[in-house]
Formats: sequence, C-alpha cells, structure tokens
Amino acid sequence: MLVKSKPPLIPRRALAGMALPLIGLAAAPAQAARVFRFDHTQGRLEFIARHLMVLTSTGQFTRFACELILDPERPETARVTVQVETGSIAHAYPGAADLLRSPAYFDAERWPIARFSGRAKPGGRIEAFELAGPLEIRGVTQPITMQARLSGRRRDAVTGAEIVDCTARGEISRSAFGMTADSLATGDRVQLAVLVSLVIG
Amino acid sequence: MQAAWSVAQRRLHWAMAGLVAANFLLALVMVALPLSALLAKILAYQLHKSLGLLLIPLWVWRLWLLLRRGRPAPVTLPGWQQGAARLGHGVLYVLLIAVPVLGFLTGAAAPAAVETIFFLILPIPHPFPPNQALYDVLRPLHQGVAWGLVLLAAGHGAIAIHHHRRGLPILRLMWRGR
Repeated sequence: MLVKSKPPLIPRRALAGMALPLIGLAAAPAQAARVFRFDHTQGRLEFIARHLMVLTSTGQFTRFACELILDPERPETARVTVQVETGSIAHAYPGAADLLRSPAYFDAERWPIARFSGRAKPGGRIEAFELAGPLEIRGVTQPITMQARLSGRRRDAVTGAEIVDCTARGEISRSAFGMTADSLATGDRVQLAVLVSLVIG
Repeated sequence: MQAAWSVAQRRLHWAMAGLVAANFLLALVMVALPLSALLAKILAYQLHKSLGLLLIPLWVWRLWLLLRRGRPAPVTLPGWQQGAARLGHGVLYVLLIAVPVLGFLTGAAAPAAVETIFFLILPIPHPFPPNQALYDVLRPLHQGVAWGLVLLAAGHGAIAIHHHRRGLPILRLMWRGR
C-alpha cells in the first residue's frame, strides 16, 4: 500500500538488515533470495522523452516504492514490484509537471498509482538481466521489459558502508497507455530508468 | 579611413539590426506561449537560440571589417554629439555580443536542461551542466541587457532619422553607401 504522506514509503530501518554483497556473490556459497526494498529516498525513477527527434527532456517521480527479490545465485528467479505515485511527477521545466499530471498525460487525479511487476527472463547474469512484466498506467496494462544492471560496488567515503549501483532501463510507447497529446512535439517512445544505490554492508 | 561604408558593412549592419529586432519580438512571444502549445514553444525557443547564436559570428565579421576597413569620415556634428555617438556605438557593439553570449550561457545553466540545436540541425554543446544558482543570475542579466540593447538601438535609429531630416547623410551612407 502506497502512503501519500511525505515520510518515506518504507522506513529506513527496514533496510538495515538487508546487507547483501550482490556483486561477487556468484562465487560465494549459495544463499536464499533476499528482499530489497527501496524508495525515492534511496533512488530515482526518471523518464526521458524526445522532442522533434533531436531534443530530450527528463522528469522524475518523487514518490515511489520498489521491492526487489533477488537470489544472486539464480538471477533468473528475480522478481520486482514497483508502485509509483503519478501525482509526484517533477520536471525542471516550469509548468511541465502540471501538464504531465493533467488528464492529457498521467491523469494523476483519476489514476494516482502506476504499477509494474516483473520477473527475470531466463539466461541473465547477476550483473545484467532482464525483468519483464505488466506495467499499468492510467488503468491500461501493457507488457514491458526492463534491462537491469548492477554496475558498481564501492565503499562510501563518509559512512564506510558498502554500496552497489543498480539500474533498470526500459522503454514504453506512451500512446499505448492513452497518452497521445502533443504527438507532433513529443515522440511516442519514452525511456524509463530506475537508479538506486543499495547499501549492502 | 574609407570614403563610404562597404557593401558588406552595410549588409551586416542591417542584417544584425533585423535579427536583433526579430529575436527580441520572438523572445516576448516564446515566453508568453503556454506549455499547452508545446510544439510552438519548443520551436520558438530553438529559433530564438539559433538566431542569437547566429549573431555571434556576424558580430565577429563586422568587427573585423571595421578594424580592417575603418569607417567613413564623420559628418559635421558638434563635438559633444560626436563624442556621444562614439560612446553609443561602442556600447552597442558590446551589447551586441553580450546579449547572445549571455543568452547561450543562460540556456546552458537552465535547470530544465534543454539542449541547444542550431536550427534543429547542429547540436551545440553547453559549456557547463544546469545550475540553478547561476541561472538565477544569468537569466535576469540576459533579459536586462537585451532590453538595454533594444532601447539603445531604437535610440540609435531615432537619432539617425533625426539627422536625416536635418539633411545630414548619416542614414543615407548606411542605406545606399554614398
């Protein structure tokens, strides 16, 4: 259940026990799947649109919650669920966020939540695997595939915590979800990107 | 010192005057356009950026011609008017380059991070990433200096017409060359 209030959707302390050395574990002893929960306080959920085929603009959702279930030994069993508050859309261009919340786009008042639930496709590796599943926006459900990548592992200079960067990228056709406004100015394909730094130890 | 403005100098003068006037009017329109007119707004901003960038090489060319060929001998005017004219022309030259450069930097600093594509063909890389604090300084500066340029250019034109009515060949020299 997504909470609309300002505090994080998932308390930070809930993440405290999620220490998991994701990268490098392929060579470690077998472990059970672990659950990672993160939200807008740990990561970003962006969308990138193209205009007149040559310009791009990037916006983001400032409230979302994500649960990733991952067994590093068996990435093909990974599952993910994401819930996004469509009204939390943010865009640096003045007025763009209001336009995107309007009925012509996300219709945030009528459809306040967008959802994605994906399962890993066979054949992936822990460093790069695909998550495929239904994405629901504006009450319309379409299948999409996100390319997940665990791209780095480092130690935070301040806290000393071990961190791994996780990204998932995909593309949707906005018209398939009923968002057909400004088709001359804005392309139909919109990229989605989830970027999160997971504290693993 | 040459006898008259060269053809290139005259054409550059009027081309830049037209570009400045057109781009100033375009700026007023593009800012007022609602976001619901998205296509028109995007096109207007990109055209404004492109015309502004076009002014920079024209300015360099014009300055090079001025330094290389000089200007016609000044018409007979009282000393204070000649001094004021020199000062006004100098400030005009400074503003003619300051406005487009400040505009380009404003576009680079804008948090919306919209690229600059010269006439929607040639991408022009921004010199630095978006920066809200810098944008808050540059935007009003670009706007203020642009108003200064337009007002000074209008005064420059009005004075040229005034002299023309009094029979002085200042406007004719720039229009016909002699």
